[in-house]
Order: sequence, then C-alpha cells, then structure tokens
Amino acid sequence: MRSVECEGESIDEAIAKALGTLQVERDRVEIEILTDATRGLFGFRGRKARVRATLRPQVGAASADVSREASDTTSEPASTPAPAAAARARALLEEILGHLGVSCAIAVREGDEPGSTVLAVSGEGSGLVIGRHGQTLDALEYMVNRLIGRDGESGGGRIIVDVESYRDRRREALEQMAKRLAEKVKATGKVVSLSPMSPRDRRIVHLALQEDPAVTTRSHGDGQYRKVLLIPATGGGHRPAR
Amino acid sequence: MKELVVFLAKQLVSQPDAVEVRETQGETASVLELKVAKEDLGRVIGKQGRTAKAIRTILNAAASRTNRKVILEILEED
Repeated sequence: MRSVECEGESIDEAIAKALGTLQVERDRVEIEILTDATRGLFGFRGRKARVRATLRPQVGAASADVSREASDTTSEPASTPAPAAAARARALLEEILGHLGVSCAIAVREGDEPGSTVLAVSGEGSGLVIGRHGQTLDALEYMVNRLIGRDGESGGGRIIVDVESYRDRRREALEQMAKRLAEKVKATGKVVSLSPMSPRDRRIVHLALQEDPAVTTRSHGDGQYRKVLLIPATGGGHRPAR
Repeated sequence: MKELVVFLAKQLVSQPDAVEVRETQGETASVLELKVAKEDLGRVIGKQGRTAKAIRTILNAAASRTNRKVILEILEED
C-alpha cells in the first residue's frame, strides 16, 4: 500500500501537501494524523503538523505507476532488509531537509543492489537538495549513512538518497557522454581524459565502456581530482605506458 | 542554520552535551564555531575531513536561500 508522510504549519496544509505528492483527490486516501502543530515558545521550537496519507486500494485500476510504487515500504517497513536502520535514516534525512527549509515527501524502497535501501525524496526545492553535480545529494547521503552506521544496527546495506530520479538521470547522461567520447577515441586514436568525478560517477563510466573492446578505461589522479581516462585498446600512435 | 549544525554534531558525537555552536554574524557572512569534546573531534571531521566537508556542503545548501555565506569553523582547543 502506498503512503506518504507530510508536514505542514497546520494539519490542513500537511494534508494538502500529501495529496499533491500522491496526485490524488482527498477521497482516495486515508489520513492519519501523527502530530498536531504546536506553536512553541515565541514561535520557535514549534512543532509542525504531520500526517500520513495512505492510498486506498482501487478496484481494477492498478496503473503501471501505482503497481511500481507499491513496493514503497513506508507503511510496511518489514519488507526492507534493515527496517530499523531504514526508518532511522528516513527520520534523519527528514530532519535535515526540514532545516534546509524544503518540504518533501520521502518514500522508502529497496534498491537495485542487494541490501541497499533508497530514500526517494520528492517535492518542492529538489534543485536545492541536489546541488551542483549532485554534491549536496552526495553529502546528504554520506551523512545519513554515517549517522546510522554509528548505531551498528544497519545490518542491511547502504542507504541511497535520491531526488526526483536524479540518480537515474545522471547515470544516463554519463553513459551517453562515455559512449560519445569512446567514439572520439576510436576515431582519433588518442587518449581522452574526463573531468574529475566522484567514485560513483567514475564507476558508471567504467561499466558503460566495459563491453567495448576498442576502448579501455582507467582512473587516474588522487582524491577529488581523480578522473577517468579513455584509452584506445589497439595501438594508434599514442599508446600509453601501462 | 545554527540549529542544523547543532543537530548534525549531536548526532555524530559520543558526548552530545558537550556540543556548542556560536554564531557570529558578519556583513555578508555568518561564522559558525563548533566546539565538541576532545575525543569527538575526529567524529565531526571524519576521515580526510569527509564529514566536515559534508556538513559544510549541507550548510551551503541551507544558506543558498539567503544571500549570506556560511563558514563553519571547527574549534580544536578547550
């Protein structure tokens, strides 16, 4: 069953946000009020209203989108590899995003890699959450992993933080770029060096050209300057030293 | 901004009560001075400063809505 949790200054606002995220009308969802808003001292430290909206089952209308999202584990944490860690990671991420002033819904689902959990963030302010080349997203992801690792309860694998499918879009863009540059390498027989990238991005490039017999890939440089080199496999004048 | 640093620091350290953050407002920038227990210094800095860098990146994202810069200093001495 698909469900989201949302926050707002009032319960009504939180419900409106939840409906916006789920893209449905009020009568399609079950609303559960988690906390009411409190004003707090001098308007500070006030608590926002939180509601959980759960989609009601709809007879004979399982669209592709709904069935795909049915794997969201927000309401059934038991199906994630490490439910306690995933729930804690989600709460931490939510708190941090709250400090950033973005109001987002966070859906939890299993990742492609075994044991990994994806926290998929959606809502306004997603550009802010991604940052330049995804660096804010990476920092958030690192932070969340770091914080749940401390407890030693993350029996499952990594937590992946994603916003509006940014990870997928980035991978596709990198794969296309890698293939385009590989053609250039084949045509010119010269080594092409890519701009410095994160380990995750470099891995995508290596994997994208793994099957290409005419080009080999190698990482070069240290730390944040480490970048991928595309090298022609057969001698074309410029044969780099191995 | 300050609350964000306090929250992250308290989550990272073993002695949350020792976490102190002082905010100084400059003309175009705010400086946040973070103080933690001596044995927790490594926890907020991380291997090769990765954790400190992540905190700064998240802070910059938080600050990007305002027109001010935020500088995070991690204080070493007692």
